[in-house]
Parts: sequence; C-alpha cells; structure tokens
Amino acid sequence: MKKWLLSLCMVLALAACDDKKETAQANAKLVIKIGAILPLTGSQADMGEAAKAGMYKAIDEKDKSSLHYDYQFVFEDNQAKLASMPAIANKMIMQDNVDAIGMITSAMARVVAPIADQKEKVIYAYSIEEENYSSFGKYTFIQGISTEAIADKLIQLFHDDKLDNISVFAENIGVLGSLTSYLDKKLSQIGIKYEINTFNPGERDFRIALEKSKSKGFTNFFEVGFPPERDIIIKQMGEAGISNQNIYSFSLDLGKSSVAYDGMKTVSYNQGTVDFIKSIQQKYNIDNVYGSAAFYDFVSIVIEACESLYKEDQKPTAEGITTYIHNKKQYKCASGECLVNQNGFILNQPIVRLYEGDDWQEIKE
Amino acid sequence: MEYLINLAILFGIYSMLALSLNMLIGMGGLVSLAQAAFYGIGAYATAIGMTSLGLGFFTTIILGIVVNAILAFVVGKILARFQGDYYAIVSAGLSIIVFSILQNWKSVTHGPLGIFGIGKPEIGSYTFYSNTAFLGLVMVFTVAFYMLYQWINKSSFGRVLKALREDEHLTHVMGYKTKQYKSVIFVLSAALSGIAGAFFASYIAFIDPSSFQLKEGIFLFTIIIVGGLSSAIGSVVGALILISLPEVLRFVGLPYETAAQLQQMIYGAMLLLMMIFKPQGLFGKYRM
Amino acid sequence: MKKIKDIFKFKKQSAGLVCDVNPPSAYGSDIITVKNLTKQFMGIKAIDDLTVNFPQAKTIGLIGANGSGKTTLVNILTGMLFPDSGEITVRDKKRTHIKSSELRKYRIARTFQDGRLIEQMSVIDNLLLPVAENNLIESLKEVSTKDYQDRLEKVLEITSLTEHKNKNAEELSYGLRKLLEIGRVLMQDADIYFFDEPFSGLFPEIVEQVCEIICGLQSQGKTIVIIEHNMSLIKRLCNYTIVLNHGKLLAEGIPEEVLQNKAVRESYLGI
Repeated sequence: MKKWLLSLCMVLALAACDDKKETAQANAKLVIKIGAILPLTGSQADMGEAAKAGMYKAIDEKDKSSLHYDYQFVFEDNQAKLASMPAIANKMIMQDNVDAIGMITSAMARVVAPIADQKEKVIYAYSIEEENYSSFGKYTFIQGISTEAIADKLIQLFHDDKLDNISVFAENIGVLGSLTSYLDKKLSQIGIKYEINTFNPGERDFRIALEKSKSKGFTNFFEVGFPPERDIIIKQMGEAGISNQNIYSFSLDLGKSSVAYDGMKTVSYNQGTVDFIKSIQQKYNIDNVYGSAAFYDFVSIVIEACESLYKEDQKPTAEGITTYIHNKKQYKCASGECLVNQNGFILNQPIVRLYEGDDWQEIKE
Repeated sequence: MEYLINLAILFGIYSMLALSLNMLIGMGGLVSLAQAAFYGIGAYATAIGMTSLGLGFFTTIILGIVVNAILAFVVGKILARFQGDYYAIVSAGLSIIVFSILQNWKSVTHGPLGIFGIGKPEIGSYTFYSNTAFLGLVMVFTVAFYMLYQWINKSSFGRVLKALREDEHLTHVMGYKTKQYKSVIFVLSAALSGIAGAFFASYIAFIDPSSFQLKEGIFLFTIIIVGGLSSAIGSVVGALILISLPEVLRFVGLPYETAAQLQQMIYGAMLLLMMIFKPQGLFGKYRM
Repeated sequence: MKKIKDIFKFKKQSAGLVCDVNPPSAYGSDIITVKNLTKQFMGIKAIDDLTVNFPQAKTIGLIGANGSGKTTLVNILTGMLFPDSGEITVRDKKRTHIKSSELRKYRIARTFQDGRLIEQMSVIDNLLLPVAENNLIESLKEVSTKDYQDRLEKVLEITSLTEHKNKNAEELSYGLRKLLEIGRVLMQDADIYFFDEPFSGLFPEIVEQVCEIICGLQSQGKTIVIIEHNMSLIKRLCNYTIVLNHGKLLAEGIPEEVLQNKAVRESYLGI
C-alpha cells in the first residue's frame, strides 16, 4: 500500500516539475496555446462539446498559411465543478503554458480571474450577466447578452399576440433567474394580469401549481426552464388541458432538445445568428450548440489580436491581447456585432428568435 | 508547483470533511448524506460574514460553527429516531432543503449568482494571502482534525459510539443514552464540516450553491468508503486518492479529443478495482 | 468508579470443583422480589402472575422447560422487556418495571443466551465497553484503557483472552466468545449477575473455567442467577433453585430438595 501511495505522489511531483517541451523548430512558427476548461464529461458535457466545436470552427475558417503563429488548443475537463478550477487553471498556465483560457459560466471566471491576473493570462467566459457588473479581473472578458434585452423582446412578443394574461413558470437558476426578474419588472409596467411561479432544478411535479394558476383565471402560460424540467413542465401543461397554442416556451439553444412542440410558441436565444448555428450543427455534427458562438468569438478575437500584435512587432502578451480587445470597442462576431465595455464585458447583439413555420425567425423590433 | 499547492489545499479541505464525516459514519454508523449542507453553511457563513458583515475569517468560522451546531442539534434530534437507510434518506432530505435555501434566499445568499470577493484569513496584521501560507494554515487545521479524530476514537465516548453503530439496543442496556451520543457526534461532525467550508470559501474566493449539492455529500461518502470506514488515516488517504487520481490522469498523455472521457473511464475502473480487492476500503476498520 | 481489582481472589481448584458456599454477608434477605408479575406475547402468558424472591448473595439456578418463562423473567429484570402488570422490588425500591438504562444504578449485569458481542470491536474494547464514563463530556476526556488497566488485565487472565485481546470479537471461537461475554460482565462492578445459559455448547475445559469464574463471584458475596439445563452443574454451583413452569413458580429452595420435588420431576425432568 505504501509503495502504491509513494508512486502516486511521485507521478504527481514529476508531473508538476515536467517543463514544457518546446516542440517548435527554429524555423517553424511560434505556438500560441489557447486553453479551454470545459465540462467534457458529466451532465453538462454537451455544453463542453458545443464550445469545442465553436473553437474548431474559428480556426478552421482561417487560412493557416496567412497566420503568423501556430494556434493549438488545450482542453481540460472540470465536470462543471467550481472546486477544481484553481488547480486546473494553474496546471494550464504553468504546465501547458497557455496564453489564454476560455471557460463556461462567469462563476468559473470569478474563481480563475485572480490567478489569471497574477500570472498575466487572458481569460474568457460566457454568461448572460449584465454589462454593469464590476470587472472580474484585469485580463478577464465576459461575453453575454443582456437579459433585459431578452425580456424586452419577450414583452414585445406578448404585446404583438395581444395577451391579456400570462402565468410564468421559471426555473431558479443563474441565467433564467435573472431573466425572470426582468420579466417581472416589465410585465408589471405594461399592466397585464400576470404571475411568476419559480421552481428549482430537479423539481418534477408542477401539477398543483398549474391547477392553481388555472383556477385564478390564467389562460396563457410561459415556461422558462432548462431540459429536462422544460419538457416535464410542458408535458404536465398538456395533461392539465392547456393547449399548445396557449403555451410559450423559452429555450437556450437551437438543438433538437429545444425544438418547438406543435403549435407552441418557442422562443430561443443563442450567441450566434441562425446561419452560424446551422453551419456549426452541420459541419461538426452536434445538436446542442449553446456556447459554440461565444467560444468561436473567443478564439477569433484572440487570433485577431495575436496576428495584429505580430504585425506591429509586439509580443502576444496578456497585456497586449487585452489592450487590443479593449481598443476594438466594437467588432464583428457570431451574433453580428459585439461591444466591449471598460470592465471587460462583451455585449452580444440581443438575438431572440421564435420558431415559426418549421424554422427559426429572429424577433426584430 | 502552484498546481500542486492548489491540489494540496483541496486535499486538506477534503481531508477535514472526510474526517468529520468518518466520525459520523465510521465511528457512529450514522450514514448521513447531509454533510454537504453543513459544508455549505460553513462556506456561506464565511462568505456572508466577510463580504457583507465585515467580519474576520476566524470570527466567521465561529459563526459557521454556531449556526451548524444549532441546526445539527435540532435536526439531530429528529435524525436520532432513525437508523440505517432511513437515516440516509432523511439526511439527504436535509441536504436538498439547505441547497434550496441557498439557491432561493437571494437577499442573503445572492441565490444562483453566488458571492464573490471572499477574503483570506488574517491573524493580526498578517494575511494568509499566498497559496503557500494558506496551505500551511489548512494543514494545521487538517492535523488538528486528525488528532481530534484519534482522541475521540480512543476515548470512552468513541468506544460507546462504535458499539452503538453495531448494536444500539445492547449499548442502551449497558446504561448509555445512545440518542445523546448520536446527537453529540452529529453536532460535532456538522461543526467541523463548517470549518472546512470556511476554508473552501476563502480559498476559492467565490461560492455558489452548486458546490454544496447532494452529489457533493455522496462524493464525500465515496472518499471514506475508498479510504476505509472508522479510520482516520483512511479518511486522509481516501481524500488524497479521490482528489489526486483524476489530476494524475491529466498527465497520462491521452489524446485531447478523448482525454476527458478516457480519464473518467480509467478513474472509474481504478475505483472499481480498489473496491474489488479492498471491499472494506484501504484502511477500513468497519463494514456496514 | 470503585476499583475492584481484588474481587477475583479465588483459588484455582481441580476439575469438578464445588463452590465453597459461605457467603460473607447479608445472608437471608432478598435482593429482588417479584410480585404478581405478568407478561403476555400475542395472548400467550409467558409470565403468569408470578411471585418469587431472589435471595441476596446466593447462586440461584433458574430452571424450567423451554418456554417456561426463564429468559422472559430475566429480560424483565434487566429492562429488556416491560411487564404488563405486577411489581418488582430491587434493593427495597418498588417499581412497575426496570429500565435498561438503570441497570448500572442497580448494579445489575447480564449475559445473553445468543452471546451479544460488538463483533467489529476488539476484545479489549468489548471488555471496556460497559465501564465507560456515563457522562458524555467526561467520557470524551476518559481513555479507559488507562483507567481500567488493572481490572482489564485481571479479567483477560481469568477468561484466557490475553493473547486474543487485540482481535475483533468476530474472529474468536465459540468458546472464547462465551468467555468474552462473561468477561464483559466481570468488568462491571455489579452485585447481581444474570447468566443466561453460560455453558451451552462449551467444551468441558471451558465449562470448568466458567465454573471457576462463577465460584469466584460467589465467594465475593455476589448474587448470581444462572439459567441452565444441566442439572449436575446446577447442583455443583447453586445453593438455591427457582423452577418455572408455564410462567408460574413450580418450586423453589435448595437444589437437592427441589430436584426431588415430585411436580418438578414430572413436569421438567420428565421422571
């Protein structure tokens, strides 16, 4: 047993001491390593795969011969666990010598930001937080869409449909919680009869709450939940005798898992345009593409920054890349246009879509 | 080196958790899945105490201990009525309730958005800012937990606990108020988990409810099963293996495309083999 | 707790010893009296309006056919069962029932027919279990292996368990398990000992060892109640006998006389 433990410790120690091997030949291009800490196994693995597809799309679109650096990816699995982030981030920085790290959710970035600042590395995460959030760190960028803007589009949809009442069933989880708060505020402003029912991830029985809402005279229902709660609540709405025509559903991606039910008004949000999403689904054979666009944007902007710095004879340091992105202020990205604010928040175009006539249509003002 | 220090801090925190859980499950035979709840309360006491109330780290530890002890005392009274599977189920319920409160009591916990900017421990004018200093402090507490475990294990209290895990009726016949013993060890274990939670919050500087779900309680249970029930060294070795094994596998040199999945498979297979050859855990002194 | 390291001062005697029955004190009074005691299980009376006395400082053979209520009576007197009706007087205190948690207070110790040991605990820990400090806080401070060292070593020696002291109870042979259970009651500073079939299934040499232990207790003036089917052992060890039949008292008195009793011979000995 002791030997076994000893060898475990030795492997760990060796692993930590093993310096990065320089693979680049003298005449070859220098390597820029872009890391991504993603949930690649576990219940959120499909989100990790979506992010990877976005990263590959960004590099695949480039004419390699015109690039001045050789861009390589390093992936690590975190199973969406916060606790593992500092160690993995350190491993990527110290062992793999990455130049920038992408990750899903701003919670992860909160943990890694102090490390990234200390080690001078760029980090990037996607979220749906608000742009007035304070800066996470000097080299941190958070990309997201304003939940308020999404709420505005939804209100517009309800208005267009001339609804006089709506009962909202919303899952209490980061993104959706924020959206629900705005919905609450805006529904009260337009003065229609409404109520907000919230539920936690893992809840399975909505029958009593639905019956209560019906007894209060609500005839229109809006479901805001992640799968599988989303599908369960929709099924139970059907069982409660609510027709699909009176159900609105909110979904985060355009994969099969969020395809609209017959006659139901499914609203969706993604960081990329409809065409972007379709192309990535076809080329990389994946279904859930939530996050692909954000990671596509991440890799694209890092490459753009490095290439630009090279042309100006500057090294692709964290400082250089960060300054480049900040100076851009506004640039073309998967959603059409992205805006960078002084705190490192990158705001996507507010794209909200409605499933109509077997396809997705953007809700435009 | 920084990577190893990070791992060592996590190892220390999980060792504390495993030791406190092994007191309850290994020594007391009380299969509790509520440990993540007390871990979370300890972490939130530090997060809220340091960011909103302006308290020092060590004061927030005491705050966490008090909150956990009161909650555990009340819940322990209820749990003491149950045994075996029922105990596990009711304690899992507590874990879910606490998670739900952390998730929904937004005015205090900020709900799913979590709390950030949690500071580092301070003694006088010295701040444990560097990871190395923080690791030192974590290790001091881990050793203290270890010694406390051994102390209880050798005491008459520990002996009565170990007896009641097998035959509560006989222990009662011998004149011991077994419900009180169950209650005391539950409170103690909860308070100690809270201390581990405080270190976690300060280490990671940002917490949200996702780190304190029921599955975390099950992970802690796995640590002591692999290391061995009713064993202090088993708790520590279990934590070492479950924290470091997946990390070691990051360096095996698997192709990037499938590395994560292969790592999980190897990790699972190694745990499986360990349980086949050592069903009592590596240093286990008790079978359920 | 009082040190009792000298309680086992008895001479080792040759096989087939007969206890030297000269109890030193309080001879004649009753340490436990049972009045009109009844206990039913699903309508069947295991103990039926029983009135019986247990004289102090005697070794009492509690005999009767299977199902006569012996173990039920001992279970009631050791707080494992509560009676339906009746009165129990222990050390002049009248009670309707005895709680198991009060056994220490009444200085009562017992063994079990099915040998209840803490299987995954060492011999030492099994022996020390009954003598741990009752107060929770005090018990955290107490490390019994030090506090009870003398007594522990003596009991280990008497029960021949010294070489097995670090083994778990589950690793012991049947005979050693019986000795461990007896050792556990010896660790207790009791005045009244109940032995529920202590000789069943034992090899002759271990039977002799158990006899010696019981004699040792007897010489200290302890009250001992033995449930046993082997009449020769009853005759050898006991100076008083209580015979139960269908939960009622059939006979009581000196073994030789009781065993000559016609009713006893017919109903129990089948003669």
